[in-house]
Amino acid sequence: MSEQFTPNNPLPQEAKLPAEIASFSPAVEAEIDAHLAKYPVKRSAILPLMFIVQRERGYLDPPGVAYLADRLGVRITDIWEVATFYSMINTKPVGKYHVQICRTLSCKIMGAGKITEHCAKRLGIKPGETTEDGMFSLSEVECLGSCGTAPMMQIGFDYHENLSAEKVDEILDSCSRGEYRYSMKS
Amino acid sequence: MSIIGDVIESTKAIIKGMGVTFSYIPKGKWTVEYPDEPVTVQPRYRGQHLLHVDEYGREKCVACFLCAAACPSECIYIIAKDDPRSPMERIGIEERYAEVYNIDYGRCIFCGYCVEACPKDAITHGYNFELSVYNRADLLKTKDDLLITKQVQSRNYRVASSEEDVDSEYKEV
Amino acid sequence: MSTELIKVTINGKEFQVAKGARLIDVCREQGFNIPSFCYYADLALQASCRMCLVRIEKMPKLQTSCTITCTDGMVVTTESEEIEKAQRAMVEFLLANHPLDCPICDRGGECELQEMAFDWGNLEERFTERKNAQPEKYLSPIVANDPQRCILCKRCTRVCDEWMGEDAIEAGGRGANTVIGTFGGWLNCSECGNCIEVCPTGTLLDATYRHQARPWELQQTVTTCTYCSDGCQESVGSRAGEVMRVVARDRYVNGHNGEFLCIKGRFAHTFINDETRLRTPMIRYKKGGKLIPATWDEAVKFATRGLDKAAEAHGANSIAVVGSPRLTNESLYALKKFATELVGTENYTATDAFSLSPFFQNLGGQIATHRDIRHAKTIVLIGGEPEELQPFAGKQIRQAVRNGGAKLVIINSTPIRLKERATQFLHINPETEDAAVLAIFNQAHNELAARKMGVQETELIELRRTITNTEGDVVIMFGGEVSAEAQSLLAQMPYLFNKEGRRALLHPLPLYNNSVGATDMGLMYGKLGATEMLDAAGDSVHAMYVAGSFLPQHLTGREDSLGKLDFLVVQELFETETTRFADVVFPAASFAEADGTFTNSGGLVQRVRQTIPPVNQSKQDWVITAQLSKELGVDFGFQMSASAVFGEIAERIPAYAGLRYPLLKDETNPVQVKHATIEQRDLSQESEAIRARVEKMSDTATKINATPPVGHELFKIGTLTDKLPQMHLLASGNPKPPTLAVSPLYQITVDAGMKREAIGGD
Repeated sequence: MSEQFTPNNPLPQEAKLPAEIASFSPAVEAEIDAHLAKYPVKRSAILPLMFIVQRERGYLDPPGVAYLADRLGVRITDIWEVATFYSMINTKPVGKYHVQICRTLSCKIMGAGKITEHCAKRLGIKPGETTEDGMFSLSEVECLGSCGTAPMMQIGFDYHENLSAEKVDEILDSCSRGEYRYSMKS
Repeated sequence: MSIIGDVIESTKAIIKGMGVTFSYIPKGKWTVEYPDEPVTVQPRYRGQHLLHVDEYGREKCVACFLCAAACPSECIYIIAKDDPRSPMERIGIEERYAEVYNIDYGRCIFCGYCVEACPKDAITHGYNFELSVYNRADLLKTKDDLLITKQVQSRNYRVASSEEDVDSEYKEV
Repeated sequence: MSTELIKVTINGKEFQVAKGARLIDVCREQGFNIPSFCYYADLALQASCRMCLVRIEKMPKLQTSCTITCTDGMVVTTESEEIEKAQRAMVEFLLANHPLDCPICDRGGECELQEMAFDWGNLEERFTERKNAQPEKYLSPIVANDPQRCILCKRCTRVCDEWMGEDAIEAGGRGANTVIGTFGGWLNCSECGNCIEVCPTGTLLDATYRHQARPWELQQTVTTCTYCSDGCQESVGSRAGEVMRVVARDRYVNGHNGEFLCIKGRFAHTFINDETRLRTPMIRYKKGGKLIPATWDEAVKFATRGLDKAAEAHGANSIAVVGSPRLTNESLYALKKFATELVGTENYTATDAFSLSPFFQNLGGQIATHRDIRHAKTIVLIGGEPEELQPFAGKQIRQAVRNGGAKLVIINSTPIRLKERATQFLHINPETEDAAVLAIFNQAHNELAARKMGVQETELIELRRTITNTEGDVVIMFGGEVSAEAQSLLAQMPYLFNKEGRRALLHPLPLYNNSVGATDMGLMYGKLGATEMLDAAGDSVHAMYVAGSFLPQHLTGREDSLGKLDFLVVQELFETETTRFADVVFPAASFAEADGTFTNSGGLVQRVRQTIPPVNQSKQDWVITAQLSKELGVDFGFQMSASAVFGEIAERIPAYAGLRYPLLKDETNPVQVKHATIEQRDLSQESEAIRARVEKMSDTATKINATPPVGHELFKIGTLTDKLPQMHLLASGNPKPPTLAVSPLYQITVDAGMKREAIGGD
């Protein structure tokens, strides 16, 4: 089971304190302003803004965190706290295909551990890591609300349900051949 | 009471006493020929302490001071220190080790509480019992005297096996 | 909390409790033991440890008593099989991931989790799964962290947020993987160490005391901190004449500061046993020669002969007596007595950064203690920077605003960090604090003051409205920026703002632990101040007797003044700039080796207790003074007892009347000195002087816009803090070491170039 893996702990221990602050194009700034305008308290917009920063910069990098702290008027540790809580916020660079396997109860019972192990073996990485060629990232995430079709995993925003080792192989093969098409846009 | 009566009484007593003495002559001697011959000690004999090391030669003691706290005669003195090196380079098994570990055998009563208190099985009683010194200050034994890798073991003892009946050998006397 | 009483039944007994009281507090007051980890009085509620469960009738489940407010007729059970079962299960959960490394854990022996496991733990653990192992690491030069020991009570994060207002430490990750940490893994905060103090386990540890000693073999002595004017009560742990650590944990000490201490108080105690402490008395037989170790008798004789000679040649007034605001009241009193009664000189002072004598001469109201600040309704802070210079006062202000709903008005030329909490921040031009005082004193000057301060007149009107609308206490705090005349105005302000239901309290922010005591002992009322005295050296002052040292700010530009003296006697801990010219140097005892009292900025007179015997050959300052006076032919009658000196203080100084050491024994109820208040007096002269000065100020000054970085005052290297190696790392900008697993001290060498300029001094 996943016990043999180190805990999936997205601690950015190596991250340097941001020296610079990220900057964005006027269009993105406008989008951010629109989100900020929605909430009576500025810090409430933390999640939508995180998604925007992640979309624009690939992941939530230190300059992005500094930018958020500045825009929302909160401390940098507050951003860190939220970013590490949500598995959909990446605090490390991720590969082209981000394979996220649900590890919560229903999926765990239906064999998510085995699926993770299989993926890890196939990709040669542990959960929380990215392959050297930058194609795949593997992570274990919390419940994605697809318990009826467990075990399941998510690539990008696409759900792949009722998984088995063969099915996973099929999906990963199509990814590595470059044939995989996202059905959901972020 | 006549003098003759006294003489008879005392002669009787001498004969009775000497009778016991002479009766032991043919039984052979019971004296332990120490130090020419080794002494037999019990397996659970409490002699001079030993500080143990693990299979990599690292000291097991983590300087938790529990032995010093348990000691009724307050004869253990420890100075703990931080060892920042990587686990295999360390002096001890943990990053905390005893820089100084002294036992004052002038005070030690060999009660064994320190051994019982030790959470790491780092200190036990060895069998060394030859602790006499010419200078009282030498009764203070440091880590160099106590570490199992450094303690000089006396040749003058033999540890009995657990089945061996050592006690009866001495009992009859 | 209202005074209305309600009825609560606990375990079948009825109690009358105040309405709004918290259930856990009530139960504990009544003697029912309720275990808890995360509950911490005066912090936001967390209810994450689930240890304080109780059964309340008509509630379906067990309730956490720390979140329940007592209501009328509540029926509570705190002890039953059901509750115990739940609590035992909770401890089992808490221990599920906790390593069994108590032997190497520094908290072992005084650990709340250890105690709880003794009382509520099961002998057998049912969890056989692997523990979530995480390596030990360092979060900063002084905070060591072992994430695996954490039970996620989040006391540290709440303390960091609510007390320090820094939010430096937070809980990251989720679920079983939650860890206490910070962004980037390296703390860049004020390094107060309060997270270490409140941690109920060994998760956050003091890196300066790491693996040095075990708590049960330390002798804990309650004493008063020697750094700033807050007078925090702390417990000094010593072993065999060596100070090992300083804590404020409530099992050892319960001062007005609770468990709060700052970096200096908690960690910068290494100077006490430092190797560079003066060892013996020393004599410089020839000017320009070397200091040569001597015996006490010889040195005392040499010193008295030198002072005698100066008095004979130039008169008594040529001898100056200089104390230090770091000394105990007893030492300062002995110095004052030495100066006035034995030498008969008018030249005496203490080397404080600024004098509070005009304030105490005009005092028209009460001094606010730190407890008063915490419960104030309005706080006006003029100048000063409490979060750096008086960290405990800063914490009380922050909590008053955050937890007590107080209004905070800050008048400062620098946008200090505390302004985040301020309801109103008057960003004034540099050095125009006097104008603000003038405007508060008399609103007729509003227009002039606003112009010179570079603020709107409406802001001043709003400030006045905030004060006059307050129901409750108004605390006016001021720093060293205000002038002597402005201090007089401030001292009289209670007469302006006192009203039915409103009390105006004053709180000065001096820089040193006994600045107020130095003023009380009369040492600050001498003819010359410290700098003037240095200027007069060789001119009207020919000999000097200095206890302590001059501050760097006194000596800048006057480096050689002391060399002009005929004779200089110094008693100090270390060799300093002042001892450079000394003819006789006596080794003095530090606060940890002395008995006595300090008077803090809130007027609380608190005991300093001898923790270890004097290091080397040092003696307490007042003992040295008494020895000198005995040699000069006058016996002060102190009988080598600090309490006898204090008895004399109580007789001679009205504010201390009736006080004795036994009355000061209990640090939980500190005694406030009764400073004499004077009648409202005409201050037109002073206010006119200020007005004239304000008018001369420039209209177009440039404002300081940069918020000073954290620790710009706290991490300053002084004579005392210099002895803590970690302080040098912090002063050099707290660089993150290559690896966090090892103390940065082993990884980074601090060279002179890295050191931040040491401007201030201790």
